[in-house]
Amino acid sequence: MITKFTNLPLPVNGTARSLGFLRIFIFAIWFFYVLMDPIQDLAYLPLTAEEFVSFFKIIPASYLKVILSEPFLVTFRYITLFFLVLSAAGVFTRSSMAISCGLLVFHLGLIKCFSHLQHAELPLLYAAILLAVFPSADAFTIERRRYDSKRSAQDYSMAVFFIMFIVCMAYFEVGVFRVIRGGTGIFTGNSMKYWTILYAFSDQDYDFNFSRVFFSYPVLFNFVKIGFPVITLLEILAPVALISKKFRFFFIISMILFHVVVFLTMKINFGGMSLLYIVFFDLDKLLSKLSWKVPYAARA
Amino acid sequence: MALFFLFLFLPLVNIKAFQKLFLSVSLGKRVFMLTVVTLMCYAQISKRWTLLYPFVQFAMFTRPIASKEVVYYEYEGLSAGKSPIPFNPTEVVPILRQRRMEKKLHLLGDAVTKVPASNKAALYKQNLTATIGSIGKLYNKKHPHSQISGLRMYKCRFNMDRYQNDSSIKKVLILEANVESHQ
Repeated sequence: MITKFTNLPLPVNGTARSLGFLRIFIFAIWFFYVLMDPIQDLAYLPLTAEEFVSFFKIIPASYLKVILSEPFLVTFRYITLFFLVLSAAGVFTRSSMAISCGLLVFHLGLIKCFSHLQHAELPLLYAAILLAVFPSADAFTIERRRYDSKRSAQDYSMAVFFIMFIVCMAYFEVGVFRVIRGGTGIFTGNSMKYWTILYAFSDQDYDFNFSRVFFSYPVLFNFVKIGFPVITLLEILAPVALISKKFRFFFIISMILFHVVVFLTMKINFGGMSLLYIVFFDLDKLLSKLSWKVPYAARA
Repeated sequence: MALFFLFLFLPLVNIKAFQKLFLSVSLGKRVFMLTVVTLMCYAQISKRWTLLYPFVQFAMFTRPIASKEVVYYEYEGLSAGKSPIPFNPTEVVPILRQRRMEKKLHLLGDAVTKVPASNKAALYKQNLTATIGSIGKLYNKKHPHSQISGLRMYKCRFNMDRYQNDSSIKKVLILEANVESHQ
């Protein structure tokens, strides 16, 4: 049985084309993310954060005041958008991706100065960083890059596999940590019912409030209670999706359903995280079906 | 937690296809991947994960809740004539959506109302008034034709087992802040 396990194939197929497509996809998501939310609004808020993240701790207060001024934040936002466009379009791709990632880390760090970090955004950030390190600029780029003939197909596959690994690890960590810290009490008590109601009533991102339906049909709270340990188990088992195509399919369908239900009931938006599921599909096959030609370097 | 990581990595590194794939990439990339994974694991275990940003602790819905009382906050703008205007702080500062704004104001609201007589509560109240006032000022900048002169914050609470309809919710005014007009 152990031999059978160690001989398992890895269901991953990375190519220059799939990695190039992922680069456009992920940097485009970040572009819309930065475009939709004007970071310069932070200049109006008093700085009350008690816990700055890493490098913000060492920035002198006078510099921080300049950083958190409206002109600086507006400039910062447009520069970030500019480099995100260059990264997605493939102009000075390697350098623009590296700069974009630095700017995105700073962008989320600034938000953390005023509130908490959103976990759903971090795997997207890690994916962008990985694409900057791996050869994602060999296809779908505007610039004419010289193709590195020494590059093996494994380089692309490793990049795709590692992004999949990061997504699975994020779920795994959430699931395991919940079991360790919450114990069985978190699943047997009314914790999930409490959170469902609290989030539905207090969240003001969206106008709808389906929790009132729950109060009309209290049996629905039982579904939430049963679903909570099931989803936690799926989160812990997420790494199985790395080696099993069947489980991967089941995992993606279940998680998408879970995120939709969580969005409708608790208004927590995991849209960005769910979009990352694209990495679990054979993108090269998909692009072949769409007959997308590979421009420039990787065409050779 | 470390033991769970062992359960994750041990089977993976024993898969021959993974070993082949991992060893096929350059040493630099291997070191990079190992560093990322190590930082992710360490941030999850460490209590001082904020130092490791962008590597953070992934934790959601982990503490069991015994309370049945649901507490949240609502806001209301006041026009120059003191008539109420619907007000949503997240809409004013969309960069703090995804519960960031709610959580920030919720923590301050709780700090102000839990022990209202303490010195710290006075400090928190000052902080909360400044924050609410700033959000109001930003609102005035974004809505030049519908200015507000004040903002009210209400604490809402109800027992989740006894909820019938919205009249079960007890709503108490905890703060009223003046809002400057945006010049």
